[in-house]
Amino acid sequence: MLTIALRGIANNPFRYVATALAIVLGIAFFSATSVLTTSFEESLNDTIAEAFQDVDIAVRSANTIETPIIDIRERIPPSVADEVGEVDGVAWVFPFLAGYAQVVAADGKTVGGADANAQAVAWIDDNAVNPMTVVAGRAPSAPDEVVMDVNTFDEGGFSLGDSVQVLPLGPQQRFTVVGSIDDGGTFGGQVLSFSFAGAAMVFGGSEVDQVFVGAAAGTTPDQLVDRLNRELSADLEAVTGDTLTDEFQELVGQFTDIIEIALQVFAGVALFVGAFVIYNTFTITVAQRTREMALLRAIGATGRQVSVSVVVESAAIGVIASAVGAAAGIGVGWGLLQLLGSFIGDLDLSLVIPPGGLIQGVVLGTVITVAAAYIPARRGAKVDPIEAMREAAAEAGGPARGRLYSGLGVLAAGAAATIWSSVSGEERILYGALPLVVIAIVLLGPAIVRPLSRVLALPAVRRGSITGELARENASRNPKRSSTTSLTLMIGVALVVTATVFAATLSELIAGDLDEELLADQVVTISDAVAGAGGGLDPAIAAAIGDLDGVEAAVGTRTAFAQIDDDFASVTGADTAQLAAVADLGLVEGRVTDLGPDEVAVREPTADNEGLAVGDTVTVRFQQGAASLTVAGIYNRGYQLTGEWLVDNSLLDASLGRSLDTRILVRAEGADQSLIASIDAALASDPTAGISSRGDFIDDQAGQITDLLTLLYALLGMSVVVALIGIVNTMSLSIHERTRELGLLRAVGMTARQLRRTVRYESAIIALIGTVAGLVLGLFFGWAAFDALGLAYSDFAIPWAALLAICLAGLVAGLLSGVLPARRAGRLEVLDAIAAQ
Amino acid sequence: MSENPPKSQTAGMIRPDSDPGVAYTENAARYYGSGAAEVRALDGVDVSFGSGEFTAIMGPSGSGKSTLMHCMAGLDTLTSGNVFIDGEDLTAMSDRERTLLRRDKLGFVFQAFNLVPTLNARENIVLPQRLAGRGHDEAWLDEVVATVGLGDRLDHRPNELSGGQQQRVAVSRALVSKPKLVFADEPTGNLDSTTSDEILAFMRRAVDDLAQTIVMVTHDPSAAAYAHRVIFLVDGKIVNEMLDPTSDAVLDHMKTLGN
Ligand SMILES: Nc1ncnc2c1ncn2[C@@H]1O[C@H](COP(=O)(O)OP(=O)(O)OP(=O)(O)O)[C@@H](O)[C@H]1O
Ligand SMILES: [Mg+2]
Repeated sequence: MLTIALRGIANNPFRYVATALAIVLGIAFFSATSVLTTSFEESLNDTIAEAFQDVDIAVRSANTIETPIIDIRERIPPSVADEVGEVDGVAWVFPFLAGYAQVVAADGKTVGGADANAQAVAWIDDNAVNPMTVVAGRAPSAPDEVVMDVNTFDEGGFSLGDSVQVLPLGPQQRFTVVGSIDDGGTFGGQVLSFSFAGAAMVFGGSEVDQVFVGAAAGTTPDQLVDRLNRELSADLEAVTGDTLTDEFQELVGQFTDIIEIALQVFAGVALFVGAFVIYNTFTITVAQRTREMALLRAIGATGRQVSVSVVVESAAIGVIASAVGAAAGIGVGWGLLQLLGSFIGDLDLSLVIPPGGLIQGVVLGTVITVAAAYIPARRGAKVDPIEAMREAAAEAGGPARGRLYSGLGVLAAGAAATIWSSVSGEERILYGALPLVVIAIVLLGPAIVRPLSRVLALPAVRRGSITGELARENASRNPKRSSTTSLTLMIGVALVVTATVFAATLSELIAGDLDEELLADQVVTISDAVAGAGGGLDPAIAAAIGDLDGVEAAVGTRTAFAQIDDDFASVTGADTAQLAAVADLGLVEGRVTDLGPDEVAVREPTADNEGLAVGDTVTVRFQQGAASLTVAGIYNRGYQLTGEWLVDNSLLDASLGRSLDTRILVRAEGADQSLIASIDAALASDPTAGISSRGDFIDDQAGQITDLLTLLYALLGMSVVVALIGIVNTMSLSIHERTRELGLLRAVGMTARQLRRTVRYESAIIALIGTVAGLVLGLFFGWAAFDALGLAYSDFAIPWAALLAICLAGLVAGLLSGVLPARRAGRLEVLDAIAAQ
Repeated sequence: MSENPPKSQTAGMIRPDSDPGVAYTENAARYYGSGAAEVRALDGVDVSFGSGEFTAIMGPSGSGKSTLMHCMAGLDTLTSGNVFIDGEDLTAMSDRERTLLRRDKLGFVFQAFNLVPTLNARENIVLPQRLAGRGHDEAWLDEVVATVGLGDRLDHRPNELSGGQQQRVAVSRALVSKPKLVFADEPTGNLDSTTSDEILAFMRRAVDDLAQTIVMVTHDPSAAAYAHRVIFLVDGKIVNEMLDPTSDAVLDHMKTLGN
């Protein structure tokens, strides 16, 4: 039987190409994910270990602000370095100071575009400890000297001795370029370095992140850590360099794990779709081989032997395809790594092949193939020997009644649950309805194939096209096969539609919110990269704009991470004296304007959650310093502009080394070209700033989700591709099965072109069924996700244009999937086809 | 195999030379394979089929009957020689031209698998005209269908029809477009004698009453007896022909060929 199984593959390699391809693609995706994240993690880990290899001990604040991603520590005064230096067994100390700075090139622009990443550190004078090395010139020593990484140096066309502006400082303050450095791969993007005094000036304070310590000979780092922790104040803690490395590597690990899991979810969807394709292939081939199997049974093979032969066949394909997929995954992973590297900048990324991940991929692919082939294999075992004598009837009858009724039952239950949940407002019931609806669609699939293909073929049939009519009949002649084929496409489409609908709704919500909140006519913004690096605009810029004739108010806003009553909070700072002119926060109680440095305003939902009322006090801890604040007011709008917590800029100025504006909201009603030009001129001192009109700003903010959507589309694309391969496969197998009929059609006068068109139409109908089903399901999912957010139904946005585009894409994809099978059908020799068994 | 020398290599002598017939071949040859494995399925055949004539082609298995039909219908191409249908040389035509010729001028009835399973009887019958994007003559369709005796089965799909009914549908399809010529390859080969008699009688009626031209391959002498003449093929050559055959005469002649 084993020989028969393997010979089956060897004799008919074509019908397994699609099966194999479905697995190859899914496993390649899966393995590439593993290769990419492992390589990325290991490369980062190497860099981290290298960066800290000479650090025996770090002394830092014991107080952290726990953001959802990373713990930020309070800064400590540089005098801690002196304190530590006096402790027994300390060989050397270096205060470590890092922050945002960016050099301006001769053309008045930043280097590497608006989205470039930029950081700066204080130079460490000890060559043994400093991971950076001077490439040309020398290290910075005077406060007004700067060095930069070689890439920035070359790209910006700098030379030693140049006098440059350094952001966020203004152009009056000049720095001299004294050298270029190799940053040792520690950071990606632009890296500047100053003397300690210079850095303190740029960052607006000399408070340091941590103090690096070297142990003297004869003292182990562990001994010294113990000693330091005993002798230093309770607000400080000492850890070994190894601990520091571990902490960073753990952070990187968590980060890459999240990415890996997220990517693998998408790989999983593609594999799930692939499983359907395999199931379908084996179902069709088992049906086509009914006679062969019956013959085997008739000459004495047991049912078990027949089904084992199918399972062996699937296992062989699974192993081969998965191995090919894993190998391809290494290549794809390498490609993605290069791509990632080009985005991140000069970070050393080297390929690491994770054997575990690859083995997992091969096992997974094989298991999926065998599992998907199991039901068809069982069906093969049930073939009656008598079938060998009958005319092979590969055609299946109409949809089974039981299946139809249970499908309708499940659908009714799903609908009831949906209605119940929307009436009762209990979302959890809706979560129960989701799987019910999916199951109902799968059960009802075969029953809806015929009516749906009737509708979809209508435009063609209306024109009196016989090819359209034949395509329609062919699509619905084996409803189970067509429905399984199209449902694979439905999965991908449903997810795409869900994301599209959800994003459209969110984006409309953001636009709607902003439209209500924003009173400003112009908004000055900086890129996310600069804001993310802690950069921003010098508050003097907002002041300068405010002083322009015709400008009513120019309000700088900024954000800071804080711990409020022990919970993480993102706090927005604004010039609250003028805020009312540029933003309508929807005051609920108290006052949100003219906040003092000891006051805070809270948005209503958070106030409700925390049980806060006007007059209550909260404790706020920033990276530098803590404060006790009184709740001065509660507002209910302003989520987009001021977030949940609003304080006056004066508080942030006092609590942060240098607090920079990330946005300037400008009220200048009827601003003309010359006023805009004056605002532009005021921004000239910082090339990272850009100005947009109110409408453009709102569109921009609302459109950011759409960018995310593009990434999602790319990730879901793989499952759609696998589903399309499934369609190609089903069509090819069906054509093979109908060889004789096609020969007849050609004999009585169907041209090869008509035949090809028929095949393409059929494929398009099947693809459209999947697309339409996916559309309906996706709309339902999107609505459910939206409902879970607890928003009003009137806000639910249906992006008609996008949905229409998805339908058209489905149609085109279907037609394209039909091209190969159609060519095959068109090439049939009429005589051979007529003579075929 | 017969060692009989061919009595006549020129069939179609029932017509004067001035009428070449609606379809004829000139020295038609079809070889399969090459070298030692070469099979001469047709080996220099000159045959002509006149308008309004019902011809039966007979001969031992493997004698080239189907090959002759396929080549004349443009389903297969000759190794050498020419085929003319309605005055047009098939050998010079492209695949598309031959397809259009089949669709517009020829009708077919095969032994089995004659119908498209997804179409009902009526749709199968008008299929060639639909493919040509033309309408059909409804009155003529009614006449044909009534003559074959299909009347009430027109809305049924092939799997709901008996073998005999399916062949009636096939014959109707072949006739309904009023083709120049109908080719039938063992149209009653799978049927019992009563049913096959009905169908053959209808085919003869189509020729006599409806002025159709039919060429039919058959192994059955009693089927051949429905034809105006019978042509005998052996080893790819025409060895004899018989006018106004009776089944006994055909059977007798077959015996001489068979040995
Ligand atoms: N495609 C082919 N390749 C090789 N040889 C072929 C092919 N088709 C037919 N032949 C050979 O050509 C000869 C004539 O075949 P053909 O089918 O015309 O015979 P036939 O008279 O129709 O026989 P039957 O009565 O059995 O249908 C046979 O010897 C056959 O084996
Ligand atoms: Mg034959």
